[in-house]
Amino acid sequence: MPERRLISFTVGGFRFAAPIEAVREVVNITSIVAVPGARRPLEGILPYRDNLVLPVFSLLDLLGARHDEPGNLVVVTGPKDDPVGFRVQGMGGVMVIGDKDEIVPYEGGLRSPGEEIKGVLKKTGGELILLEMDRLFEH
Amino acid sequence: MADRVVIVRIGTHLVSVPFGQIDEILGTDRINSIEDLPEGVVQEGSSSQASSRHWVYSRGTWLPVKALIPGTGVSSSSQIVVARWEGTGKAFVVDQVLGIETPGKTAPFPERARPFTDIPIAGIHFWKKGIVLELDLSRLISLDLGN
Repeated sequence: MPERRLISFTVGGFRFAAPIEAVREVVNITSIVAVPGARRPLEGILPYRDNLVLPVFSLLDLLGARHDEPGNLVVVTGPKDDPVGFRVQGMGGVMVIGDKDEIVPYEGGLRSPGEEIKGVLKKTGGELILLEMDRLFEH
Repeated sequence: MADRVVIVRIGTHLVSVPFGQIDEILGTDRINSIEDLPEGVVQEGSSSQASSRHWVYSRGTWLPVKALIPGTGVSSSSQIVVARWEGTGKAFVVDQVLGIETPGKTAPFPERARPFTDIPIAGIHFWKKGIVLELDLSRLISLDLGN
């Protein structure tokens, strides 16, 4: 397995890791603008750079789990002209994984119909759910 | 120059409607209950019309007053906005009309968010008092909103 750089974050007690190139930036927020009549997983919108509006989604809702714990960080992903955000509770560090790292199939309760979850990375200090963020809107 | 819009507050939301598409803004004293309507106004078999308790008479037409956002009720301080698109009117209740403004920066509503809201929003204005959601009137007229 070629070396990959991952960034980790926590949402609702789950620890995730995603390829660092999939994360455009992490934004500190005070509130999200609610959209009238919005249904989950949409949490709201935020003014964003370049006259864009960032839709903010619940990551766990997209993975089939209900989650109401607010966070004040938004992970921004997606194309420059069509970004999307996910609210998270905390950011971990950047890590490099390679051949020596053990990745096992995910067998937890989150849904992954589009292979959004690639597996579980076993690291010293705990497990991280490996996420392919660009697959989150394909199903 | 951007067109003028009327900005209204519905609950905690700020919503704009193009000024040119607003027929009237009415007080709740203009509301009639369904029992007081002239015979034949409510079309037989129209469950949508029959479910509307409040009606207003605007420019020769009786219009059911709808809630743009589910759960919005009519109170003594509410106002009714009558908007028109290609000849068809729509009356909806708002909590407060905040004023007529010429919005500055406008951004499109993100396409990824559209499947997750029933309210037709065309874009976003960045106003001094907050983010304003610009109603898409052409889609609003075609929607059968709740009461």
